[in-house]
Formats: sequence, C-alpha cells, structure tokens
Amino acid sequence: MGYHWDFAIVFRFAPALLHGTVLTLELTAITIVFGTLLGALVEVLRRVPSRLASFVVALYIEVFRALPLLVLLVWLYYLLPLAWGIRISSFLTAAIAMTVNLSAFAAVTIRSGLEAVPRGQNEAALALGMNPSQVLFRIVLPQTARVLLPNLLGLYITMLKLSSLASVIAVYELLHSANTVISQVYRPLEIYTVIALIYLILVLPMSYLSKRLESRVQPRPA
Amino acid sequence: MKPRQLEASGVVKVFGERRVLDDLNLTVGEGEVVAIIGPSGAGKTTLLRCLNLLEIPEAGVIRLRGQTLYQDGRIIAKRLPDVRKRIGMVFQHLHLWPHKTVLGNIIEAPTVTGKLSRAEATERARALLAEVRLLDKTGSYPASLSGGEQQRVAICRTLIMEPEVILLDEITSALDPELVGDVLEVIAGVAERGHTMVVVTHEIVFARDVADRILFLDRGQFVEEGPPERILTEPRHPRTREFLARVLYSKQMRAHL
Repeated sequence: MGYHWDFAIVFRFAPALLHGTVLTLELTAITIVFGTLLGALVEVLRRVPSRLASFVVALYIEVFRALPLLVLLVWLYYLLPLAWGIRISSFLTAAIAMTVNLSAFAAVTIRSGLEAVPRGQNEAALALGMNPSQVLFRIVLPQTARVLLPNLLGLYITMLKLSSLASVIAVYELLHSANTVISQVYRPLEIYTVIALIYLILVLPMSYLSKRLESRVQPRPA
Repeated sequence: MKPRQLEASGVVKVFGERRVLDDLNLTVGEGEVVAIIGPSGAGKTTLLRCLNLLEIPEAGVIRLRGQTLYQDGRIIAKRLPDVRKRIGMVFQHLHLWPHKTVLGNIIEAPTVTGKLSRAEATERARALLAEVRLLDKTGSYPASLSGGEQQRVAICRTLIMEPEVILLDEITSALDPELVGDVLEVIAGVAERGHTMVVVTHEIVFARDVADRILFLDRGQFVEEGPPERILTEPRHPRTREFLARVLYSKQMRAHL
C-alpha cells in the first residue's frame, strides 16, 4: 500500500534538471525581449495611415492570437526545413514561435496602454511644439507605465509557463529534461513534483511583482 | 492695415460627408484680437485645429507671417513642431498632464524642445504663475486644483513658449460659472499686452470687451464680421441675428451690450 517516495533519485539528476531550468529561462528571456519589441513594432505599424498596413497588422494580431502556440510550434518545426529548407535548431524554432505568439498579445496590450492616456494630452503636447517621440516618452509612457507593466508582466508569466510546450520539439528545457530523466529511472512522481516546484519558484516572484505594480496603479499623486 | 500675422484662405475641411470648413477665409493682423462666435457645429474648433495643423485640411492655404505652412493638401513647413511652437493653443478641456506638477507642466515644452534652459524656464514659469495668482500652487498636481486654476496653468503653459499667435478654444465652457471670471481676466490681460489672438468663445460680453473684431461663423463659413459693438447691436445677416437672439435671450443681457 502507498507509494514509496524516493526523492534521493532527483539529486542524482540535479545537473540535468538544472540545465533544463537554465534553458527554460533563456528561452523565456529571449521571447520576452524580442516578443515585446516586435509587439511594439506592430503597434507602430498599426498607426501608419495606410489601409494595407492596418489590414496586415489586424490579420497578424488575429491569426497569432487565435493560433494555439503548440500548433504554431510543431507547424514551424516541420515547415521551415521541409518547405523552405531552413535548418535551424529546435531551440531557435521554439524562440521564433514564442516570440511571434507573444508579439501579437503584447501589441494589443501596448495599444490599450497607450490609449489609456486621453488623446487631448497628446494634442496639448503636440500643440506646444513637442515632437511625437517626445510626446510618447515624456507624456504618454510615464503615465501608462503603471498600467502597462503589470499587464505585460502577466503575459511574460504566461510565456514562461508555455515554454514547456517546446519540449515536444525536443528543446532541452525543463519539462523535456524531466522527461528524459524519467525515461532513464522510472520515477515520474518525484521528478514531476520537483519540476512543478521549480516552475512555482520561477513564476511566483513574477506574480508577486505584478501584484505590487498593480497596487501602485491605484493611488494617484495629489 | 496692420501686417498679416496669420492668414487662412480657401480652407476646406471635410469629415465624412460634411464640409465642416467650406472655403473659409481669415486674416488676423499683428497684435489683433479676433473673436469667433457661432452655433455649435459651425466649425469653430475645427478651424483652430486646422490653423495649427492638428487637423490637416483638404484644401486651402495657411500662412504665418507670410510663411506658407500649408497649401492644398500638403504641409509646406519643414518641421511641424517648430511651427506649432509659434502658434499656441489653449483647449476647452484643459488637458494638463496629471503626472507632472504645475511647474512641471509649464516648463516641460520649453525645456524638452530646447527653447529655454531649465533654470530660465523655471524663472519664467514662476513669473507667469505670479501673474495668474497661482504661485502658491507651483508644486501641486493638477488633480488638486480647481478647473479655473487648471485652465490658468494651461494658459501659462502656452504663454511660456512666447507664441506669435494664441488660439483659445472655448476655454471657459468646461468650467463652473464662478470660475470663469478669473480665467477671462487673465486672458484680457494677455490681450492688452499686444498678443495676436484668435478667441473662440461663447462669452459674448467677453468677446465684446476683448476683441478688436468679431466674426460670426456658421456652416463652415464666415457669414458676417465687424467691430464688436456693431455686430452685437446691429447684426446685418439674418443668421447672425437669429444666433444672437438665442444667445442673448433676455432683454437685460441685451441691455448690457
């Protein structure tokens, strides 16, 4: 009766799991940086006064928000080498899929953040002779950062969790390293318990930070 | 005739199906104060927004001191921000920046655009605040000011740029009635110092007191213009008469003119 837990086994494979953790963090970090930049670029493109540009941007956002990341991931994994003969590592494939996925969500988040600042404030700044980038960095962003940052952080947490999907295309991130260990020593309960804990340890500080930032949105300077 | 400070001719602005400005002409001389009155939807605000190119007209010409800023669908001026520095605008809905103090709001544009050093801007800002009797609010945030105080700060924010023309867009119509007087008093002071101003207003008595000329705008065109006394007491055009009759609805109000 009862399962005989043996966590000692985990320590034997600690280096593999640590390696997986590092790769998960790398993959997430790369995605966050490039996904946010690409999302900002998409939002910039949206403001180009051209019907074609706004159509392309709208299509991009709708498609990549609708497409499940897992599907995008396996599709790219086969599409790039088979259709176009592009051979890149599965790590890079995963980074690209996650970046594109995040960028679509980030674009929408950035848009709503910018639109939270009343247009009249932008116009007042423009009317005083400030140029559009001065208006963005001096008037809009300082006000919207308090709304924008917690929302972006929420997206980043989601990406960290979704990075586990990269295991299906054999990226040696945390979940995949766990699966490899399990295939050697049949101890799924211990290993999965430990990686669940590792994910919690990675995510909870970010959640806490997001909550802290959110609570600072409320009080306004008076 | 005084030199032409601001000139708009043949200006057309279309929103959807509506010609909001319909072949409109306006010339404002140096140091002149013109008041624009007219029913809501006449195009008053759109006109001001076209004059500093916040709104781009479909056709026409806009000149500032002889320099062509805009002509027939194209912006001619090299750098729009440099042009806008020369044309100040105060808005109906205040639009102070809530994350900056009163002082921060006033010195932002001159320092960021390189017009004044921080020290110079602060000194100028304090002088302006003293004039509008808000020196004690220098470090306050806009949220803690009344509407009238906020609007006076907005006026300082525009004046510090030393614009060649000042556009005022119904700057008292969002204010509680008891706050209107202070703001109009400040504007009357500015007008006396020889600033060129285009004032869109619903305050007929104020228009009479401050303006050299009143223009009546209706359906995107100036229907009638002339010296304030004449326009207000003997309007010639039927639409001007009708408008004034509705605005000055009581005999007592007319008696004030």
